[in-house]
Amino acid sequence: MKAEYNPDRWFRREIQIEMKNLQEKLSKYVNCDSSDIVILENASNGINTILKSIKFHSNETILYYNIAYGMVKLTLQYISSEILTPEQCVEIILDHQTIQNTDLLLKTTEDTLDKIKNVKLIVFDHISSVPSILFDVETMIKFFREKGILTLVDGAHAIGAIPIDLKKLDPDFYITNAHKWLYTHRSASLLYVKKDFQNLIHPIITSFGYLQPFQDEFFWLGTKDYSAYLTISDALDFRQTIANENQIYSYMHQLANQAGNLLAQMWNSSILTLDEKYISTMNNIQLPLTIDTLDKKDNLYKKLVNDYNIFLPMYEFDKKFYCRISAQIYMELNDYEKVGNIVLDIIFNRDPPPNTAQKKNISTILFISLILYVMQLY
Amino acid sequence: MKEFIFPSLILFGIISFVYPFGHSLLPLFSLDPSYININHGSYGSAPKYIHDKLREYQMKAEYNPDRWFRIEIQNEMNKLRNKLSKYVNCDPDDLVILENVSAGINSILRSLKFQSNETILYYNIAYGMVKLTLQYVSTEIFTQEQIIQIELDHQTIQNTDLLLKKTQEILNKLSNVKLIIFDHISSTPAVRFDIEKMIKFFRRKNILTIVDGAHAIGGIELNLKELDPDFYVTNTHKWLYTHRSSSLLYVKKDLQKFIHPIITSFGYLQSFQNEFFWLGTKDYSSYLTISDALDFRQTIANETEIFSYNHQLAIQAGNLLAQMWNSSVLISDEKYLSTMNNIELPFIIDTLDKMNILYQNLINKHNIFLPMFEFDKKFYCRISAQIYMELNDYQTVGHIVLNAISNMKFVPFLKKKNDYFRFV
Repeated sequence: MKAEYNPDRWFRREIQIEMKNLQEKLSKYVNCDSSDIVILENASNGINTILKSIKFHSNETILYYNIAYGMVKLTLQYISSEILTPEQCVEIILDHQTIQNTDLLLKTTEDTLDKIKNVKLIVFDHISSVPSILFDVETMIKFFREKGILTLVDGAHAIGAIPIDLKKLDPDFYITNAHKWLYTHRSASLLYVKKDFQNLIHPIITSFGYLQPFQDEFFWLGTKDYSAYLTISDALDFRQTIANENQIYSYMHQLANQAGNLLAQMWNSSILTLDEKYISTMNNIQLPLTIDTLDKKDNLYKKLVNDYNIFLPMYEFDKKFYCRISAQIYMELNDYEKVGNIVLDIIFNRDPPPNTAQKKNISTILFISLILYVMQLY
Repeated sequence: MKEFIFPSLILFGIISFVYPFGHSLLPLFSLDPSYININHGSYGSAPKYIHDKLREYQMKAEYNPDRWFRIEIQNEMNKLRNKLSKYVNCDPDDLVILENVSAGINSILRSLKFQSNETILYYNIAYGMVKLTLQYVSTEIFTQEQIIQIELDHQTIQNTDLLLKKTQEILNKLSNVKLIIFDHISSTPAVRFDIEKMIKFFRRKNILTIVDGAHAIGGIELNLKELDPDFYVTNTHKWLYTHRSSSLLYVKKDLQKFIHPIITSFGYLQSFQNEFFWLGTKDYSSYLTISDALDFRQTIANETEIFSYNHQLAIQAGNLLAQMWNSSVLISDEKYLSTMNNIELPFIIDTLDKMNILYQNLINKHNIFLPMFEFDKKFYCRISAQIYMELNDYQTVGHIVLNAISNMKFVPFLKKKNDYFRFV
């Protein structure tokens, strides 16, 4: 409404001040210099910005892990077809062992590094998507920095779920979505670029900030509604009214842990990670063992959506089938118990779906249509 | 005579009812009632109805986010494209919705592969963002000589034959021109071009056409089948009353396989439509208000009536201000105008400094945002018409400008005082 009251004043005067205030507040929250972060629409934007700005020479390589998010892999694919060559993007495979042991992970990485020269950059997750694992990025960043490799950290799930201390972590590039776990309006994200590299990075939309400082270049990207970004400040306030940050992190982490154990018990399966330090606010539980093919997994997914209005992400990893649950401050353990039972109901073909509301609605509509049609005849 | 007066009154009453344009429409918008918005063209303005619908969509997304993003949004966007494609007369598969024209222009210019001997042309009046994107592309990808500017002056800008003649002169000196980018309705100055003729001209020479129609949709009639450009971009939040911000990108079928969005995501290697749909999580609600904006317009008047009111008002306001300021309008033939007009500022404003001082003065002391610019050695301002505006609004602004200028007569004296104003 502020924007509507006087659009010119909002866009030419007020929004700059609001965004500056926001950046100051946000930079304190993630502990970095306010001039080193910019607000973008989403992590996809941030990843594309970094990968499409950096000039890679024809002998340089980019590394990534097999569990990288689909969008990241596709962007790397785009770059390797349109700009570089396919050999320049190399995947490192992680399995259920290496994914939850930083030493083994770095050892596997080292094996790849020995075979490849001129690795310029590596992309890796802070908290991966599927499966959802919390990585020790501080150790990993130090490892890569010693080798002179740029680190692009995909922290899409990080802010609001775990503490982020960018000064301590010290990545070269860091991206996180504020609308996932920080309760901001969809969608807003943060892109951090280490000072030395800011002159190399350009936004994917060139506009009035071109050839000006980093901050100006990333501010003007065409007319947009900045309101979602500004809710970052309000989201931080909102959280304070609920509890302090540690309490919020702790509740969600514990709930994810307990929910995972509960479901594993109910389904007689197991959770992917043995040590809870490798999960954040999500957990990966192996599906009941009867779900052993992609088709069965897809059928279960669809049935949950269509008949029970449950969206449970499922995926295959290292030859097993898992689902991912997310904790949240409005959730309780019995929610996951319910879902666990529903999954068992479906698998063992028990009681018909409780939610026949959809079917009821259709028959009601047909009935009323019939009445109206009959009335028309008179 | 009496028999004539009474029906005339009735007719007048009917006309006022059918054409409710002017201040009576202001309550439908959320503008500050005391604010005279003579610059609708920059950021647009959406009626309250649109914001209600926006909120509805956002609440639907919140009710069940997974269902919204994984299932419902595709249906809604398909319906929207079908409706919008009828409005602009094209195949629904040939248009995609993006955030703004800047995204559209960048998508095209960064997707096309140019050979080292190929040239891109543009006009001097192209929008700043377009020029900067061309500069970026020419620095990062090609060599500088390959991006060539064609100069237009006050004569060639308002005469299609002269414009094309000038363009031909440049073309004669160059080889391998691959693409030209030009406005449908330029920004500063605001001129409406006969792009149908221009597109035909360039197609005969096998030059690709990118048309920057940022100000077009909702301001003038848009018929893409008839115009037949290779690429067309337009902002719906400028003149179509949608929520900020959303835009349309049209790409001719044969060229769709060459164009990729600036964000690569899940649609990569799929169809044109899929590639441009998934660009990371976003709030699609402003896009969906395009449909509601089209409905809203129908409740006010039909499209031709809306175009006509704004067009006529822009002409009248321009003439009025030129008279008040003893200056002139840039464009003499109204067919080169859409819903905006360019009036030469009072002659006392004859340097960039004076123009900037006047601009700041109007904002700080009078809450008036009046875009000003230099073109072909003269200083102009740009006014926008709108369905909630009336001629007396521009008269008020005309007086305010004259007052502001008369207070600036003591410029050397004021120069010191200006520092105070900056802190106020």
